[in-house]
Amino acid sequence: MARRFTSFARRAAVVTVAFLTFGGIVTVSAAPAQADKIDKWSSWWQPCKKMCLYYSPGLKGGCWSSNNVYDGEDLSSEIFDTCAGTGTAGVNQAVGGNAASMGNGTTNCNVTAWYYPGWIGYSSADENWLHPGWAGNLTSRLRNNEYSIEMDNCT
Amino acid sequence: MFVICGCSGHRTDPPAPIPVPTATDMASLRYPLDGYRLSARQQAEEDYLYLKLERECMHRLGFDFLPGLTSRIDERVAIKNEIASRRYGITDLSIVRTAGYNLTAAAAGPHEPQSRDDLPPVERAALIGTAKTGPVGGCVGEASRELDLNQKAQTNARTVNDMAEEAFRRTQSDPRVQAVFASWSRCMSTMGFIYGNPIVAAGDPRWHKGSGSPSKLELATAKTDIACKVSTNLIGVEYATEADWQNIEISHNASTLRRISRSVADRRAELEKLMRRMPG
Repeated sequence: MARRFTSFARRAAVVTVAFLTFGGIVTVSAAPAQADKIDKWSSWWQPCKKMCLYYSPGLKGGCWSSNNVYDGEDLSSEIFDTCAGTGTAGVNQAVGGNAASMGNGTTNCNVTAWYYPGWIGYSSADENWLHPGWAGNLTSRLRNNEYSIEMDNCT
Repeated sequence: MFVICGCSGHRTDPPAPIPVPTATDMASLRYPLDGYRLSARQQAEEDYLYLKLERECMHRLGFDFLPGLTSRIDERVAIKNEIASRRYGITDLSIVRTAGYNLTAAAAGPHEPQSRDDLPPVERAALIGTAKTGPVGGCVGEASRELDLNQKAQTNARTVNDMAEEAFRRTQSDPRVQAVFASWSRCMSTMGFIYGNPIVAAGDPRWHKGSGSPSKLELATAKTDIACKVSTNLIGVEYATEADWQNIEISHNASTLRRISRSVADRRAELEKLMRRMPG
């Protein structure tokens, strides 16, 4: 599924705002939140090539592979398939809302899974991501609750 | 970046509510828990350094790996900011005017994804550590060790994220936010768009389908979505509510956060040192 635009008006989000509360907490300068990085194992042995989602933890069960950067935004319409050596649990079930682990088989992109469709939400709560070459289990928030994905920052 | 907290290691009275700012986008909003994480730039530097370390290792072994790698820290920061702008649904009108509810193409980065299977076998072996010579775990292993992508750092980040997640969840069901959702929903309905809240609007299955430009309906809905956020001050209300809940989390976890704060400071120093060694 194609993302459609090349124009990108960037914001320089460097404005510093201080909020003083009566409770004595002052926040000075900060940044976008940090999503959960779930790097745990090497992903190189995976049967799929790029971004991979698995029905079960530990990169097991039915698998689904996004071979195109634009694939799979609507994960509810995607189906787990059989992959060599990972087992058959969950095969033929919908990918959206059913994955427990994820792998990044690329050499040059991060991969991210979102809790909500449409890449919406608070990254600290609603995103899991992986460095190139890594794999891991989705966090409890995202497990069986991943509805959009992206391969991003492809270098 | 820092957070001064008047809390001690034990529970204190809940912090007083933060005044609701008038906010039309997310760019200027800073949250109490932000002080316990790496900044967007530091996160971008960490991403870059991982690839740079891999590239240096591979170069030493005779391979021109990731030839397109440049620092592009600013671009990586911009991508993080774009994602952050979607915390309460779409909020960046400059993106929405052309992209509707989509992410921009820029978020994917300048290159197509490359699979490790696309590498020649000998290069792949050097990268992943199946070659007879080279570092343990290949250049992936070496880069990870040098950057110290250790579980402790991930655990600390996740501890902060767990607090942030709790605050965010409470925010969504907070009566102040429920009320502003209702106002936003009424505003949308006057233009014929029926959604209970901005997240439902962004997830409408009619969007993100197929290639080409977004439909006129998607663009009209997205622009109205943002206009209604502005007229109801949804961003300001959600921000203040979430910041309140984060402050409560901070007051309940002060000693843990003090420890994490020291660890984050160490990490910032490590990144600074590595960036001096490997500038973009």
